[in-house]
Amino acid sequence: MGDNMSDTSVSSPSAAANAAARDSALGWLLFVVACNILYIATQIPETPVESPGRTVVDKMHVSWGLTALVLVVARLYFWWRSPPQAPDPNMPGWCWGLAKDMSLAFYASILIEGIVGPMRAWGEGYQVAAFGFSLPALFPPIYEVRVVGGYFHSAVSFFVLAILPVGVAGALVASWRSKVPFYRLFPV
Amino acid sequence: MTTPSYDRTSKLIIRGALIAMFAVCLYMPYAFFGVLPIFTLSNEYAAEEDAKLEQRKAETPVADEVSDDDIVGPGKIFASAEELAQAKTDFIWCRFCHTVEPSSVHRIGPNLNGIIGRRVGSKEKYFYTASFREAAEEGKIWTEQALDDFLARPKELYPGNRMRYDPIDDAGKRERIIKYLRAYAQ
Repeated sequence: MGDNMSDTSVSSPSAAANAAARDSALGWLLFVVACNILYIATQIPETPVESPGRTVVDKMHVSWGLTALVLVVARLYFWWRSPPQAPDPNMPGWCWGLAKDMSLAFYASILIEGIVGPMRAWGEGYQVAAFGFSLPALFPPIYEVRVVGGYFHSAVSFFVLAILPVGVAGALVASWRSKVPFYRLFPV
Repeated sequence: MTTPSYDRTSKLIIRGALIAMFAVCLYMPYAFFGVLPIFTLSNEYAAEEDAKLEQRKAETPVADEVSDDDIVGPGKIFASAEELAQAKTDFIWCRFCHTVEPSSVHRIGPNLNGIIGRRVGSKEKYFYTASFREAAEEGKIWTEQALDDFLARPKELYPGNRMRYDPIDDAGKRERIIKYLRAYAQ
């Protein structure tokens, strides 16, 4: 996506370095937030429905989910608008390709989760709120939306659950083969 | 800046693996939770069964909000407050997949309001597995005995059903769950 795009704001070397640092920071922030959401999600089947603990878990899940949505929109915007980060010179092509494909798949799945999640919640009549700030429901409870949205929200969360360790493992292998630091390989 | 060449074979392997991984993940909600992204537009028995439920409610009125005094005591559903508390604990895990309130939507499993005395597989919009649909056609009814048998042998009585819960061997626990349904889901 970003390969063919240019952005005058990052045309100088220092601006490009700043953009790379910003993208990297956003990527790592998303990685940490996604791990946090997945941990919270694992608590959902362990916490009884209608217990005070469940209310806390549900609210945290939605709040951090919306935070991830904001971050991923920003990250994908910069992916689209900015030139790609400069790969290390001794990095094999497949390492850089792996890093980019894994990261893009990770970001895309977070974006899908951030869109489908609130739809599923509204479909069931739940309030969607981030740290106390409620979003107005875009539609009334609709069982069909809840069923289809709920399934795909769950399926994509399994994908995120899979891609995080696979992305890290891929980055570790690529780092070992190319001698490029691990943190430069996932997420990018 | 020179971008390293991402050769076609590597691209095919990496992107192919990602697609395969996503395809496997699409199956996971069903594998783990028994959920399907399917609903039915109508159930041929639902309207008739809903009407019967309304009639039952008219004959034996139950308050919208059930208080413990209504259901605990001599001659009532629960003999003691302790038994009610235990029933609530027993039912906690059913609540993950089932609602019992009249106006609630289905969760992973169907809404259980008015289940006792209702035809099997007859809730509007819920997509039942084949064994439940066959039972509906045969006119099977969820009596308390039928529920007890189902909770004890779910896979045996309704093969292929999607309830991911072990059979309940404890007869006392099954009895309390059925009492809970009588108290809160009618």
